[in-house]
Amino acid sequence: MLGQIVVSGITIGAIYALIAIGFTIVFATNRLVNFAHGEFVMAGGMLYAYFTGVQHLPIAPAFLLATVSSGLIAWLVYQIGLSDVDRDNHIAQVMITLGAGIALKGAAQVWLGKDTLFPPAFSGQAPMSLGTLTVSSQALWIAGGLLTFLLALHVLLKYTRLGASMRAVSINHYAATLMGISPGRAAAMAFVLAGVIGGAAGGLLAPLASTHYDNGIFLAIKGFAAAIVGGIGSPLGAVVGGLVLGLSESLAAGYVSSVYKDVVSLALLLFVLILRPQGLLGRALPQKL
Amino acid sequence: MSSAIDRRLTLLLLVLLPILAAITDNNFHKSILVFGVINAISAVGLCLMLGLAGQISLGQAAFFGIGAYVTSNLATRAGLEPALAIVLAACCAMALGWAISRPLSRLHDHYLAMATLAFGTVMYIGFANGRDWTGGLDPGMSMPKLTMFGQDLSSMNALFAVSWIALTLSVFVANNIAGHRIGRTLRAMKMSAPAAASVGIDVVQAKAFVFAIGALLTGLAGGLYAYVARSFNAGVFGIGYSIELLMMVVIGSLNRVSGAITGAFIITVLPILFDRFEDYRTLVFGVTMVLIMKFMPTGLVDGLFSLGARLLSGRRR
Amino acid sequence: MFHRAINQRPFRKAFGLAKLCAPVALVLAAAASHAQETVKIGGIFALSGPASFLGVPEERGFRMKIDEINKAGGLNGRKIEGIVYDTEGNTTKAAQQFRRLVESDNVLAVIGPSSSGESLIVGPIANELKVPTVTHAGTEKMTVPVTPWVFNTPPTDRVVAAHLLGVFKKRGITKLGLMTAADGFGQSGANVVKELAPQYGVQVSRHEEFNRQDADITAQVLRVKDSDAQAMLVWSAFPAPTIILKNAAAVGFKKPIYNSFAAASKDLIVQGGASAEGTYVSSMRLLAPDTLAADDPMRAIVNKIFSDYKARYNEAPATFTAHSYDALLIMEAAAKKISGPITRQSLRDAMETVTVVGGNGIYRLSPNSHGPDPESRSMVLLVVKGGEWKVDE
Repeated sequence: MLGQIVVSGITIGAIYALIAIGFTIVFATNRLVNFAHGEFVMAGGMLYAYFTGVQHLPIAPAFLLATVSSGLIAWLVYQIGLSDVDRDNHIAQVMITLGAGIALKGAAQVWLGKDTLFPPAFSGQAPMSLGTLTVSSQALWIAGGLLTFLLALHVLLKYTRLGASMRAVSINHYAATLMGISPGRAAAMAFVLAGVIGGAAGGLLAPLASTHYDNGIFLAIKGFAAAIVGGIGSPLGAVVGGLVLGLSESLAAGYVSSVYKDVVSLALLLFVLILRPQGLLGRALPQKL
Repeated sequence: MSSAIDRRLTLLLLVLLPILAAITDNNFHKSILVFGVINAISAVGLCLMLGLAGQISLGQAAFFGIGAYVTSNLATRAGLEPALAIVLAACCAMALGWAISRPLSRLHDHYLAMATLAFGTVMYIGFANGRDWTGGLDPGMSMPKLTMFGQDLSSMNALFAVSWIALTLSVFVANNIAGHRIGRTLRAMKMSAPAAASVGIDVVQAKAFVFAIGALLTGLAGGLYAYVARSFNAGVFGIGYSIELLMMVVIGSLNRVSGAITGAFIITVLPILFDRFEDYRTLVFGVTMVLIMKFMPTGLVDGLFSLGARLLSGRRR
Repeated sequence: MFHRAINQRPFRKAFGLAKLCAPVALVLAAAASHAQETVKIGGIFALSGPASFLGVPEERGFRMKIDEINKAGGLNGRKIEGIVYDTEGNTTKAAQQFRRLVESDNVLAVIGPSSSGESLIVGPIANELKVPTVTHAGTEKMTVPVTPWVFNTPPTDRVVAAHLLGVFKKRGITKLGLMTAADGFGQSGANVVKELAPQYGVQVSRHEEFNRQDADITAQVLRVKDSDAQAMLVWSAFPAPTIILKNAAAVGFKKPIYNSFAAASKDLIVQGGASAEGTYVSSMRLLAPDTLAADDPMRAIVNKIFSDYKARYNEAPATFTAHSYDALLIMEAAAKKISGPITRQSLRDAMETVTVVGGNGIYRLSPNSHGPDPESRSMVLLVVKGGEWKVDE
């Protein structure tokens, strides 16, 4: 039983990790808790279901289209909502993302319907056996997706100018401006990335767990928790946080009590925050006076 | 905008509310006013925590729930006089607020947000599963009518009066805190906790104080809610309420008590108004939120005041 | 001369006023006569939130039947205007929207709300404000004891649980693994199953909970698998039942899986695919109308609801559609018995005298019975065979 529980924990942990990455990138470049992030994930899942179910596109183009659309939606949220708002007024920006998230949920409700949908798995429904364990093929796609995005992100951040400018902005956006980097560009790009990666997470998860216009906030909170536990601002921390969260949930459900499994994972979170406020992989940031 | 104007505006709102209650003859509309007043009490609590002291809390629903459940248990099981039950419940909430702030005192901003969110969620799960004490999600709690020393106070008018008195008291408390030394301490802590500590302010005590007061007011609101709604289940005390409270204080104007009251009424009334849009309700509500924050980033009260000031001082050529 | 008189100022003013008043007066007259022509019936359903799987089909049944009644001339010649509000499954909102319908919109009667929690608070208000109300609660407390103004159309949770437990007893299942959602619906199911199980010789040897929206429920399935439970009963709305079926198939869970009526829909088969094969559900008849016995008294009405819904909404109806449909059937039958004007009091009094065959059961209403006749066996056991729901008893 332990092996199977670990497999479930890692699968769901990988999804939490993907959600947390998008969250943490936006935070790093914008110093902003993006409350609309869960809706980007929801959009990815719902659009994937729409393109396969209503437009009858084959799986690969439907998934790609859904992911790209989520990125576009994220970009629009930034451009319309945030690009001309005072960057130092954090609370107003948070409110705007909150409103944008609600609006996206409302839009999905009206234009994509209120049904719970299960779009097709990427390579069929039949689970695969690995020794005594069964793994669904979709779980392997999820793991593959996580690794691919991590690699791509690493390349982007380390080896491209855009990545360098994003890192510069995340360290100190005033200094970045002085160096001729446009924080707005980096911020917009961060949103697009969050939309793409979040949308991909939604599309990967939907065949396993369903998608519904309403499940954005549920997933956002998990992603937020994972990002915080791992150390917000660090994509690798997001991955670690996601896996830790997923595993702790699964283990708690299996061995402690399924009723209180969320209490266990939240208590863990509180514990980490109290003992190590900057998260597992976060750097202890100097506090500005 | 000076706090004197804020006080006058708050007074104006407090006077306006009973007038509104008197001229509506429709019980449904009156009940909206009552819920608005109750939410305003919670919002004033969060306004003190976030606006004055810079402590973000996404777990206020927990205190609201404690207020409601302790009140209902004291009233139904111990047969306590309702007013006493509500006061005791508010004190329980206050104690919890004080207790939870100590381990969280090292956290700030988004870390504090996450920790309070976690706290709120743990309490919600407790409410939903502690069926012996809370009735859980089904069937929930049922309350008797509100009475005070034998007098039946269950009519909408009476409930409004009781809630309005509670709101006035809360505003009084909030203004006193803001205007005295403790208020200056909290403001200093908001601007910079290390700097405040360096001039001898006990930051941990100050945080505990403001958490306790915020919890007290929200618990008071919860106790009143129990008697107004008469029947409720744990679903009321989830993260949705905490997020709504945040919207109320920010939309209103973060560090204005008048803002908290205004925001509370807006968030209480708008969804009812938007019911006419049926399926489009959620979309319209979200867009409205975005528009308000874009064009008035410091909140409605501040925004309307500066708009008014600009219009009154004449257009600039 | 006359001409000049009319052009004088005061006359011009009077004429202007009359010109304004006339259309207004006409509109008012039309509205007054129009108001005499329509009756308003209110609906409060959970159109969003965790109970929307109940509210959405109920609202559709509501609209569908109102249109049908109006096409046939209305209630005693007066057309029905349906006013619907969303309660979001929230008890406070349910109470508010109920008051709104009764005090602001002045409806004749109210249908709904969708869930037990909401109905428990609305019931006392209905009795206080004296409005005939047909709730859609699973709890029997709505009609036991009977209160003057509250009726209830669905079979209660108790009926469903008793049906399933009866099946278990017949099939020799004495140890049960109970899986319930951590929401109002799941909790009420857990409460009633645990209460009734001993009477049928069934012991709940494992009780696991999950969130209805959890992505993975494998751990809980494994716990039931490892216990001595001989069967699993899942009491939750979607998507959890589908996910449980998939997780169970993946870990090789071989024991029979039974579902509550919340999973009684084609969706379980469509979403679950191969993993849904062989699973059971206790359902109202609307799920598989053509597999009903030829002499089943409800066969005709069930088939009618099914085909009307399919024609209008292009998909098979969820079984909860019958909750509101039956409520309107009752009101329609009651109105026919009223000779004078239809008021809240006369409608209520008439409702207590009718016998109606509905999609959910047979209603033999009387001052002592405000719900479906328990003898009418509302639930049937269905099983997925070859990708279709088939009656299994």
